[in-house]
Amino acid sequence: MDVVLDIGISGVLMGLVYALLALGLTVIFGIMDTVNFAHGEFLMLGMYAGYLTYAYLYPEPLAGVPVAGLVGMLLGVLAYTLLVKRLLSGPPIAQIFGTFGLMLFLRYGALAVFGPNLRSATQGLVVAKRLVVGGLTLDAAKVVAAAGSAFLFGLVYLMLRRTKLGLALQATAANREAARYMGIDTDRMNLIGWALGGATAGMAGALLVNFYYVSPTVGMVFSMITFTTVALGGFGSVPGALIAGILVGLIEVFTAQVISPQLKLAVIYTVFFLVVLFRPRGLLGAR
Amino acid sequence: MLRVRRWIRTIAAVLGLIVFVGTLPSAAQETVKIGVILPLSGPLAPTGQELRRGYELMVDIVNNVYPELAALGLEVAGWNGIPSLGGAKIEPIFADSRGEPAVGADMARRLILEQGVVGLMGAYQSSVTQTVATVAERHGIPLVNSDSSSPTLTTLGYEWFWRVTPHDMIFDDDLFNLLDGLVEGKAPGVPAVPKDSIRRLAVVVENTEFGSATGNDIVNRLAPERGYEVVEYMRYQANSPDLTSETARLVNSGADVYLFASYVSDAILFMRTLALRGAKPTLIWGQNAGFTNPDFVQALGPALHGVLTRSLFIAKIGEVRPIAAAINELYRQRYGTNLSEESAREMLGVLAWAHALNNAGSTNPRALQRALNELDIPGDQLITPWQGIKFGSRRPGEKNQNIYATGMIGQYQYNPETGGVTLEIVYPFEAATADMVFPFPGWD
Amino acid sequence: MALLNAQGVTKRFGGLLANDSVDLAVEEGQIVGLIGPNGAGKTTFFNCLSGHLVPDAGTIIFNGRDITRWPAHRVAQAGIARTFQLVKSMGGLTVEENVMIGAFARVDDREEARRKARQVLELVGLLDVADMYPGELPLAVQKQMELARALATEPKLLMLDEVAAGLSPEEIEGFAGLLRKIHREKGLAMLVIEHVMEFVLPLSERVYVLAGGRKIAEGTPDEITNHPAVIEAYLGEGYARAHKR
Ligand SMILES: Nc1ncnc2c1ncn2[C@@H]1O[C@H](COP(=O)(O)OP(=O)(O)O)[C@@H](O)[C@H]1O
Ligand SMILES: [Mg+2]
Repeated sequence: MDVVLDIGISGVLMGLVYALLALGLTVIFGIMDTVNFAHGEFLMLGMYAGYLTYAYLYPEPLAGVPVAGLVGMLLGVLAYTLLVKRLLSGPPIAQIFGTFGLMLFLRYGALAVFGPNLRSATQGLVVAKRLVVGGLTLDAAKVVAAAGSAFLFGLVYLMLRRTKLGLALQATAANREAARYMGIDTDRMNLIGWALGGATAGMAGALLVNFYYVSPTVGMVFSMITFTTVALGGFGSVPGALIAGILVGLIEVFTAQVISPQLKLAVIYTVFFLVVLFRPRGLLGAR
Repeated sequence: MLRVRRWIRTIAAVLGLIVFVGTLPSAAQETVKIGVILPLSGPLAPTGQELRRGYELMVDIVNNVYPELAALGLEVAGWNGIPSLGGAKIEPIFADSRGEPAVGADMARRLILEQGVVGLMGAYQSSVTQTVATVAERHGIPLVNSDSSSPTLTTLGYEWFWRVTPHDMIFDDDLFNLLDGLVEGKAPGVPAVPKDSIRRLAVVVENTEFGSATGNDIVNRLAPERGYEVVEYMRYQANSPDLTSETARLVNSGADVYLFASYVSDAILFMRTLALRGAKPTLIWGQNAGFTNPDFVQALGPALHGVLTRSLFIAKIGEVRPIAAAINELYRQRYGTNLSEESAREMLGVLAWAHALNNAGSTNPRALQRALNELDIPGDQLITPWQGIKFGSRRPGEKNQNIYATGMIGQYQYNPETGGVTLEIVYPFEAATADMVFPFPGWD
Repeated sequence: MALLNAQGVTKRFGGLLANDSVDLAVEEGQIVGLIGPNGAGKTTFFNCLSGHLVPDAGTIIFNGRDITRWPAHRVAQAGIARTFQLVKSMGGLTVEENVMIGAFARVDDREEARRKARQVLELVGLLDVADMYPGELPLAVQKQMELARALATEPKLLMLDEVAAGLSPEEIEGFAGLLRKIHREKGLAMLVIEHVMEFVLPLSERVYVLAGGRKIAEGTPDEITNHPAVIEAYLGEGYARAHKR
């Protein structure tokens, strides 16, 4: 019983982080039906932004969160204006190859600039700290990352549901052409979607720096899980990303615990595969 | 027409130049060419460079007189080239395998047929070494390996393949020698411990060839042979985003000893997660790889106090072996870093070649084969705490394996005064550089 | 001066001339019909007017400004709203939210947008389905919602593309009544593409006829129903005889 609770909580904590990662991807997809294959690399650069802030400016990884958010946002804006926008007039395959190329460019660019080494934050408010809550020992860094994820998720969700901009983004996602005739500048909505996607990925990266290593290839570790989360929740669905993220986190820990650690990704992908097979729109996807 | 003739003339001139340059070294004729196949490009390029440095430094020591090293008793340091070959210098010829078996074999063929090398070294990845070995076998050219650790290489009956360094099963043996030594009271500074305090093992390996080779050898061979109980054999997903569940499983297994075969990313995550959980096994050991990586040390620092790792070479050996200290100093002057496991490996290989060439007194392949088969270099010539280099068999079916080769086991020890973490040698016991910290102190 | 003045609008799709130098004007508060057989180029003309397509030649002056090359969202903000031949509702948003999107073209405040949306919904009679999702509603209601959404942008010119298509005669009747009511209350100009003659002719003050991308006739509904070229190209003898006055 204790183990179930212990493991379950850690699954939910990681799940919230996956959800935040999935959020940016699903928003971009929702708005413009483009899969950003470089999303994991946005995360990676967010991690570097967070880590470098920590290493050279202020020895607290949490201080890197806003910096990484800005870096991520800038990255999203640049990726959209310099690359994706030009690909929109081409066939969908051009967008796939375009963002795939961006992924390779960023990954190997980071390898060239930062070197292959793994870097880790070793001090900070929540780095390597325990949080004891009602007899349970939790990783403070993960609790903070999960809380940060939940907070950002809530913020984005409220923005989408409650503001003029949010409704405009949703309208663009729902029907781009109709939105345009309602006076919505849908090109600008694309840009905002990419900025939002980049910013959330960047901030997720900086939150990870509290307990995860940073390396040029770290994007790979998370991108498969992120894509799975988005597909599971339903491409374009924001609440779906949240539920799927937590689900993936729980499947991961319980597979490792009950079945076998080497099968955990296999089980996640199987669930994903079954969902694609029997419910192609994902758990909460539209249409 | 005119233009064609000019082209032909240019090409002829270039070809002539190539032929001329190609004949230059053989015209000099005072060198002994040894071909070295290494992964010099591709993902392992940095490792390839490390290996190459070790090779180059030792060749330099053989080819030129180093009085300070000679004074410490290093025979080859007094040489000016190979004495019995009239002072012929060893000429290294590097070839890039790109880490691919087929490319490695092709390079071996070219080195033999086009460059006329008298011997080969390399090729780091066991899969590449194996294809190179088949080429060496076919052409009857000796291949002396000091950088591949797959146990099978010395069980294939090759007549032209010798291995100077230990293979993975020897490294696994070392671990159990350490465990048995603890029970027998042989570990430095640790009184004999009851076997029950280290009997229950958890074996945690990544789900790759590397992981399962180590895992299976421990679980299927050594643990039953030496009377230990494996309470958890965990093959985990390499490069995991999270290892909380795995760690919980490990802690709940109640094992005394945690044994890991992990690369650096997972090694960092495992140690961090174990620390947060306050796990307290009596011993933690890592199978090299991630556990000797500088990034691992940077990430964890003092939290590593008491963690053990296997390594072929630990620079601290200089404290008990003056020759190793002097060579390490030379290496530092030249390259700015300590001798690493990789550079140490190639130095041992070149050393074996130098003695074999000198003993043979000829570059004739048969003479070299005999010299290698009969090679017996005493331990005091080495930078490792071995009894020497002598090829033979330590287990059934094995051939041309250095029977004295062993690994080292280091322990990370935190010094609160300096604030630094050093890797001290605790095995082989007679080469220990510090008292062993036992049991593992935990993370509080 | 006319509210909308399109001159020589030309649009080519490869070798196909979908609009061939079409001239059309709409006065303030006027209802204009645009008819023609399938494939005549009516929707293409709408797309050019509303900024979805850029015409290859011609100029479009709206409210005194040359909007020929403006993107769709600017045209919408300038005061042209439209509905679609095939309903384009925004799934995942409620009817009210759909209409609020339209209202946001004029206001920034959420509550104000909601108030406006509800006013328009009341006008078209959809207040009781405000919280439902468009997908759950019958086609006629979805078309009404589209109309409400277009009205919420407070246009000066409302362009309707085959609003009657797919509706039953009673529903068509209702829609015609609704458009008259809107015209009466708001006094805004309308440009109505229609196939169903019984619907569009009584509604329009002026009618344009397109065929093969070209304007073949314009005039009052009466003039059009008696125009020989129109009868030949589109209406057919039967219709002309039945509607002879
Ligand atoms: N985007 C397009 N690309 C190519 N051809 C088109 C496009 N849109 C319309 N067309 C063609 O232009 C002609 C006019 O179409 P349309 O304007 O939809 O006619 P209507 O609305 O009068 O039925 C048709 O032949 C149609 O196939
Ligand atoms: Mg049409």
